[in-house]
Amino acid sequence: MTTKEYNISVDTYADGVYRFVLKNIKNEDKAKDIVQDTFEKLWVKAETVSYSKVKSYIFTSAYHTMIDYIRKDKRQTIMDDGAELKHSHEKHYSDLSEILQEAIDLLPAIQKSVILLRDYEGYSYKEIADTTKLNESQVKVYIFRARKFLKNYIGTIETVI
Amino acid sequence: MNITRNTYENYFIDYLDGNLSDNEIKILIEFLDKNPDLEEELKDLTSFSKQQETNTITPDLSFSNSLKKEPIFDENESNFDELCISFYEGLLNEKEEQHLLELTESRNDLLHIFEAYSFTKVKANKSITFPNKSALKKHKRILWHQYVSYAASIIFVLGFIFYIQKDKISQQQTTPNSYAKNSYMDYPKVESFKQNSFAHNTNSTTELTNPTLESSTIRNQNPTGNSHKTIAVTYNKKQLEDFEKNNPLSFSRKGKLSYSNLSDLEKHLTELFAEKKINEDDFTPIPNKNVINKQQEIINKQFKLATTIDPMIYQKQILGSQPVE
Repeated sequence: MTTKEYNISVDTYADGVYRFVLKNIKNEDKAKDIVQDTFEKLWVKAETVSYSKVKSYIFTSAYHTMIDYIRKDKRQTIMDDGAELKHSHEKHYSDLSEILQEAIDLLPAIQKSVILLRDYEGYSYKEIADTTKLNESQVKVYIFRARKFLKNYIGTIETVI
Repeated sequence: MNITRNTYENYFIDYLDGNLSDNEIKILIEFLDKNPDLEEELKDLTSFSKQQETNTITPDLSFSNSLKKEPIFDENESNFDELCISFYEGLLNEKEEQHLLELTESRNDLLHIFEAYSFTKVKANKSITFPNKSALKKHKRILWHQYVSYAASIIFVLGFIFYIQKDKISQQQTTPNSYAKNSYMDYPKVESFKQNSFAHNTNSTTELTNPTLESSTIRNQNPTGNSHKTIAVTYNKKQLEDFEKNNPLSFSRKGKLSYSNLSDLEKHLTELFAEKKINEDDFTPIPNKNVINKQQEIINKQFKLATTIDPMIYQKQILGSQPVE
């Protein structure tokens, strides 16, 4: 990958990976650090990383850096991703996205990551599996669990509207 | 696994024998969806198989669905959530989607669930951007080791060229110096202009700058004149002219001789040699600095001649020869 391609990658993917990380860890400074680290790693490996695979490299690197951060951060509430989520809400919201964002923040880290990769970046199950080092079946299961939780959290349409 | 219309029979048999995995069965179903005519064929095979093995196939569901271990729509609707998610994830085929939509239209309770799942797709807030993207960008990297290797290569090439040039210069300088060390009589002499050179029409392929001494020494001449050195030289006219410009030879003679060009001089000298009116011993070297340009030479009634014996310069006192006008 050339210097020019690297800089194009910054323009193309920095915002997306920043949003992805920020949504996961809810910490702007740390999200910036992770994005910066990610691109530093990319720059170091620029000669070996193909431009066609740079997006995958960026998100994979950012994801694993983020997971390391989450694991180290004792204050971060990490929910057991194997537990069945039973959250619901009684409040009425005028903004559906507000409810959804709240619900997403309650997702286990792994479910949140796969659902964000799926929806933010439009990744296929295989691409998510490659990024998160899961297999496709696991990805599918996590997405299904996350959707079910989000749907339950949102409640019926009448509750939202 | 790649099922085509040419290979499907094997897969049908494997399916009926129970040798296909779940994934392969799924692929087979997709293939049958695209090839409904073959689905009928498989039905016939299945009927035949059923007669033999009493297999049970649910008659009420579509044939493709009957191949699945778990029907897509179960009667208890326990998998309705999965169906809705699959719908929004794009995992259902056209028939399954149509079936699901028909079902939700007929049941309000299911419709609400179905619509609720449509809101589970998360949209990115595009207003959130990385604040300092320019800090992430890089300028062209300076690869010092590459520059060092380039510099070393250039130095090596230049050194090699310099060495070659120096060698050439040395060779060029060695030749006159070696002559200079010798006495005049040791210089190679021109015995015959016919043999030599001035045959400028020869088809020589010699290099421009250094006409070649084609034959080796035939005759040497010592100071007493008892031995002679004869050289045979070939060169083309252009060589001769170029050589003349750079290494003019001057011949002076008594009498009135004037030549407007070199070929006239050649011709006349050749004749003089043929008639034995002059010979090589009549020539004596003179230094370059005494050589004047051709025009002056003509005015001064001097010959100007280029020979192949670079950079020797001969001066001839041609006595008794007749001028050629």
